[in-house]
Amino acid sequence: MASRTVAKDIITLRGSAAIVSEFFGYAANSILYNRGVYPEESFVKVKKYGLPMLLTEDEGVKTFLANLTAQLSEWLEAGKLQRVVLVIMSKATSEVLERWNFSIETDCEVVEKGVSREKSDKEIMREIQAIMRQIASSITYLPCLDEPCIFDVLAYTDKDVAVPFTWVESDPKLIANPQMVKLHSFDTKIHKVDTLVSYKNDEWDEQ
Amino acid sequence: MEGGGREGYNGVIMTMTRDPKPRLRWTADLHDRFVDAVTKLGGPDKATPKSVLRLMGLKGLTLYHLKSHLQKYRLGQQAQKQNEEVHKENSRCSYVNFSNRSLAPNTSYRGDDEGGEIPIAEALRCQIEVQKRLEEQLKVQKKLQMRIEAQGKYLQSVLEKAQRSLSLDGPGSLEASRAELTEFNSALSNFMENMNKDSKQNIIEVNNFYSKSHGSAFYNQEVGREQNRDQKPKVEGGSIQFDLNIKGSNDLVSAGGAEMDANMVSSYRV
Repeated sequence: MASRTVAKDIITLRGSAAIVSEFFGYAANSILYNRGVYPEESFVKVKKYGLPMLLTEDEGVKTFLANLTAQLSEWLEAGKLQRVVLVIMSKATSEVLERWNFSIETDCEVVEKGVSREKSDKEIMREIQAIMRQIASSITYLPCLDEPCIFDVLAYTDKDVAVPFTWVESDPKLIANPQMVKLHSFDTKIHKVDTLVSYKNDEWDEQ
Repeated sequence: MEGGGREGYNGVIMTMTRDPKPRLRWTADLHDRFVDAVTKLGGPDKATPKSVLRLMGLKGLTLYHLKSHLQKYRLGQQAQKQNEEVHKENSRCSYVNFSNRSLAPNTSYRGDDEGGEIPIAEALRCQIEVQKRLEEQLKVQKKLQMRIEAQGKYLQSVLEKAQRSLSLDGPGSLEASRAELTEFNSALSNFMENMNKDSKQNIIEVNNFYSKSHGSAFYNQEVGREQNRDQKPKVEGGSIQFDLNIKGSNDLVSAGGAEMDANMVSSYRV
């Protein structure tokens, strides 16, 4: 019987940063579509991570997310990014309704010494796929957003990071006494990303 | 509160600005890079926002940011040039006036073909002359200071002798002593008042007083026993109380040589 060897791919710091920042781009698009922040017709279907994914065609949002992922990639490579939070707020009142929290753990040895790690692309893709499925199925338990909403992205960085001139310092935009649901995580062996969604408690939930 | 907030977090939380024309904070480092780019392109008048943008190659930097900054920079440079020209004119004129008024009479403004500035040799000559004058003034001041100090020491010895003579003499010589003291006091106060006005004149006045009082009872008295400097003698049954807070000789004349200690002499009727 022939033995089957699992192909191990070399993951570099730059490669890992690219994987994670690309994931954020697709995850943000998926959240915006599934949570109805932008109309369905403004999204186009593409295949990614072995799944049909939806990407925005709104030029403003596209530019915003492109700039965002570029900056996140830079911070990931420097090992300076600790967390990324996509916040959904009421357009009328700016009240925070949902927080999609992506916590990042970085392998310090890779950043400091420039060593690489081994993990297959397929394995990483499977882990990301599981998260994307969970984002899509989140509509089953998340409260309905029945008012026009806007979104914002917060980046939590190390103290020594200079604020780029297209960014501004922000408050954490927290939700008081939220409901929280932990989602799957994925690991490139250099960056580990944990996903968690927190949302505003509905009044009938408390009764 | 929710997990993933500020608790236990000491980094920076930031968000991307939604402004299509985000305001740019021109930090010192960023401005230096801008200036370098402008200089490489041949100055603010030759540089264009596009060329500066290409040369700086910074992410997030737009033509919108550079247009306004380059415009401000150009205006700033123009204003600076004008200020420098005005300053040059002013300094040149004031230097010439100064040299004509207070230095050598032959130092005059010569308009050269190039810039019309005073030759360096002439300027140096003027400077040397000024230094010489300053040195002379310093010498005079030192001499005056020495003379004032000498007078101070002399005054102190006079006061000591006065103190001793008063403590030794009986009530009989009180009237004579009082007359001497009154004269001494008036001369001393006169000396203090005029010290600032004309130190040379003061010295003459005090010298006159010294020569006048040389033959007085203060100097002819033989002192039998030494008195303590800080002793304040009181004449029993008499009409004079004499308070002498005598300090060291250096305290007589202040740093400027103009003021004397107010507690030096105070004589009054009881």
